[in-house]
Amino acid sequence: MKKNYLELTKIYYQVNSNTILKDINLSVEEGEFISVVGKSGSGKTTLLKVISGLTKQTSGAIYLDDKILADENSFMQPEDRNLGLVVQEKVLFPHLNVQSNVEFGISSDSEKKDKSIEMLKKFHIDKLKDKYPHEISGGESQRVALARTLVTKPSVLLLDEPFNGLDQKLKEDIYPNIKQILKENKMTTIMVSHDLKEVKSFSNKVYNLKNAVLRKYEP
Amino acid sequence: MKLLNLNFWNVFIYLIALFFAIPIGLIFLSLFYGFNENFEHIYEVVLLEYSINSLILVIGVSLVVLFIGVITALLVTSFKFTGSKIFEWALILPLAIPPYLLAFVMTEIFEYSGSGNLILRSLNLISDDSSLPSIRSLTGAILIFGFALYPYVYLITRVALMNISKSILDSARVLGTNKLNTYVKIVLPLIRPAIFAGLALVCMETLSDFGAVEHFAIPTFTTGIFRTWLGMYDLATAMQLASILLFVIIFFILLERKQRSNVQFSLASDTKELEKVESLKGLKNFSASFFCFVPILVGFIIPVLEIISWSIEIENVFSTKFISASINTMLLAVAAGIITTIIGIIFNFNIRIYSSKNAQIFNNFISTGYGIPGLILAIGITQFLTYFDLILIDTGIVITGSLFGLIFAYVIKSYALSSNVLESNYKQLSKSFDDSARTLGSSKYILLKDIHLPLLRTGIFTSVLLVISEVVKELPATLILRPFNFDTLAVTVYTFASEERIYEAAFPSLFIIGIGLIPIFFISEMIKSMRGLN
Amino acid sequence: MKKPLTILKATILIFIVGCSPVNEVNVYTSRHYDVDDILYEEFTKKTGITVNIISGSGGALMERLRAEGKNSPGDVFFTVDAGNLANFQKAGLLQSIESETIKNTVPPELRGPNNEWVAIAKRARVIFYNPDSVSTEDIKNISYEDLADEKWKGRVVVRSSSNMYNQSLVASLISNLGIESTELWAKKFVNNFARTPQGNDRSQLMAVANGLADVAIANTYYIGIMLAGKGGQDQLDAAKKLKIAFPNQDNRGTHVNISGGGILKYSPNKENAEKFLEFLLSEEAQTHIVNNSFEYPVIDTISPHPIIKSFGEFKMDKTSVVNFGKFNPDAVKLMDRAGWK
Repeated sequence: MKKNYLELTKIYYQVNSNTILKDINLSVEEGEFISVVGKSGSGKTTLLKVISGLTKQTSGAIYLDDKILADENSFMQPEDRNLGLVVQEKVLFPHLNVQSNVEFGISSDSEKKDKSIEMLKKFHIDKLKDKYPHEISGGESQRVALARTLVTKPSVLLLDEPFNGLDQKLKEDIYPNIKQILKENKMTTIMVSHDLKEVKSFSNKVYNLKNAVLRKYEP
Repeated sequence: MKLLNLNFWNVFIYLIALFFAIPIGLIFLSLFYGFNENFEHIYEVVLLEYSINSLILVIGVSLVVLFIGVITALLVTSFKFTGSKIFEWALILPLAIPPYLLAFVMTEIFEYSGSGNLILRSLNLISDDSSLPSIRSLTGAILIFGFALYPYVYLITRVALMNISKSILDSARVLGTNKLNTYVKIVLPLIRPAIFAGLALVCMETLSDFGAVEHFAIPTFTTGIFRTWLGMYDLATAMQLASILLFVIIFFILLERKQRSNVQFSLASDTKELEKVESLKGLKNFSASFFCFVPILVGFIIPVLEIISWSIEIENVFSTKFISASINTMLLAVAAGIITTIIGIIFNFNIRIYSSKNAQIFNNFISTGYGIPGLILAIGITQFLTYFDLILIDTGIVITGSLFGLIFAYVIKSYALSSNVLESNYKQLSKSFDDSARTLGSSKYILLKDIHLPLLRTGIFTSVLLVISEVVKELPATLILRPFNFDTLAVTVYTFASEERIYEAAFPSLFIIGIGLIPIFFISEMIKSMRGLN
Repeated sequence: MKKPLTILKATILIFIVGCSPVNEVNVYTSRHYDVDDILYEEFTKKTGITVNIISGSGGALMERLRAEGKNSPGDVFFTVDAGNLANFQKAGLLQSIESETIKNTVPPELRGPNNEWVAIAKRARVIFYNPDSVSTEDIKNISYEDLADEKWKGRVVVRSSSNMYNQSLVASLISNLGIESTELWAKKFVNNFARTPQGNDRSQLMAVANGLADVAIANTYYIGIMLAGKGGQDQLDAAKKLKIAFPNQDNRGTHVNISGGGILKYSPNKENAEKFLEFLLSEEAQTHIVNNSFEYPVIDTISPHPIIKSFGEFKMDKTSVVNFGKFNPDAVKLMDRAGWK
């Protein structure tokens, strides 16, 4: 039995008197790609924010490998969790060019340049390295964002509807490339989306977030 | 421990809030010292006079600014007439001239041998012996403050009018109400909170003034406080007087805040400008133009022309006094601008990252500094520094008399301006940047340094500039707190005016007005952007 | 054997205390006359002692001295008006001057009660009038008290009661006439004002020259400044229209006030402080003062500036200036009660 790499136990998140996440339990194996679908506003983004530590859960615990990310007694700051997050919009830092964006999370100065170019090449967008975010297309931006996150070698990759808004043809073009890179890196990934079709093209393990509760997806 | 949540950011915020609160706290504390014979004397003999004068001033000025500010705002927003496009922003120009400077200049114009009389005599409108009535009176003061401060009411009313939903007005029209009724029954109530907010601001400015009322020999709280301290060497009694004034000011601050939040409520979501229905013609056109022109003429054009006429007669343009005052002023202004902006950034960053209710409350609290009269701040700070020095006495360091107190006062006074600018800039900065940066491993410090600061550049720049413009105009606190041998432009102007040699202050005055135009530039830009792309 | 030890001690001392001490005197001044800069320069030239200036209003200087306490580097307090000096003396900020030279140069009525301060120049507070609108009858032998008379209604200007010069004048009246009489006088005097007190002494003179009033009370040195052209053409022309009347010549004499200095309580350079004050009383310094700020000298061997001298000799009130400080609080309250704004 494979070890559970990322584990969420009895996660609740309440704000004012709304329960946005109720008794969430989730186990993800290392290298797995799982998806969570749900309508807009169902709390998918919140789920990712809780996992990444950007939002503090009301109760419950999150474990990563042998570390406690958060529980009743401790809370690890997002910058220390080494999880990657790719958001939907306003994804790239507008004042930095593509290369600088990708280099942002790399701490070692000497390795920055090489690693970023290498990653950009994998996504076939290395020729954009000097361009600024407002000069590149939506699809290119998302790939840069992915590159930026992957280059930091996160333990888990969290994707928040990253391909929302891109046209179908474009999606079909870039999906294989992305899938391959994730597989190569054995990247444990959680992707949320409202688009079932899109989700299915990445993985078969799909969950449904509805009424604050997470269930395995049943068609 | 959850309550305190101590870390660098929070400690800094608590400290700053404490620092801001202490000078004011000390002022109120003085009420518990016991009232000495000086206070009793003041109470028996002059307090009533101070109160009555202050009351008359406040009421009189309110009426004037209401009249000028509201009507011009309505005219400019709802009609097209000759020059209306220019008047839109030109009506704000008098804000570049601080009230005391307007008072000094007008005094000179109305002087026996001043330009006012000279012109009237040359036009044979008055005889050589007679002259215009002296402007140095309560009525004169009311007019001066009125013309100097109406832009506040004009501005706030105009913005409120611009934000009134078109649909509300359309509904009104469909329901058959005529133009006048629309205004009275619908528009006025909607903009009433804005008008009151503007009025509160005007009243605070009026009560805070020292330069104009002293020059006009009107005994008010500010002159009384100044006189008690500097003339009678009685800091304690001065503080007690100050606390009385402070109660009134706090009332206005609360009033302004409440009204301002009401304004948010009444603004509708579809913000389209009130349709300019009518182009005025003939007599109406002329009247509207005239009505809008006069305040600008009196509040800006005439004073500036007068000052320029002085400058022509001066031989030594770059006198040492002017140069050193300019350097001093700019040093102070830039330092205050930077420090205030830094504090503003830290507070707003804290609020954004921690969503800390405490930080928000403290921020609101500190933001009330704009209403506190400079004179009162100066006194509170003086006392604070004296205590501070007592603590430090064995180190040989003396802070009283250094620039620290003065910059402290400037920061308190201009914090609200800076924080507002930064806050609105921060709002435009998407939180997803924060999310991305943090998950990529940035500490909060890196987030601030590498992501926020570069993206807030415009806001930071604006904040520093706005603080600079506030500092350059400030007079009462500067008079009291400035280190020895350290004059600013405002102090130079005041000193010359007190010696009836105001014309020698031509260049410092022009400099002050020049810097005063900076915020006006920003405001007019803001209004232009609010108009949208019509 | 002792010599090397002494040298060693001296060397160590220098390192602890710092490099060779600067020979200096720290002057806290609230005077704002240009002549002062000349005086400081001359003093340094003559004695080699550096003069460090800290200037500000009396109240601010007082607060600063209080805050500095015994660590204060202040040596000398220099100001105008005996009232200001008295305030400092009452606050315990000054020490008694011991210099015999000083005591012999300045008569006791121009020194502090325990020699806490000493006058270095005099000024008189006189009546300026427009000879075209004031008859010789009215102005002859005029006294301050006369200005309460009804015939002066609407013809008098004087600056605000918040100014120390007026407070000292009233204090002097109190010490000579008593509070009640002075208050009666003050009420009537105020009734005769042509306008609410505004502006400084100079602006009162301008008011008389422009016909706004017929008489003004102001200090003598202003006419010197104006007539010497230092205030510009307008002021020069105005000054030419005015004449001076020395009040109270047939009784106690015209009210005289002083510029003066004292040694601060914790002065670290006491010797230099004394030297500085002695210098101010030297013929050289007195000449500078007389010629630049148009004040009256304190020593007999020097004459006032020709412009000032041209107004004539006059009998000076010998009321001890100590009384100005003594009755200052009473004066301030009296003026308030009389409505002198």
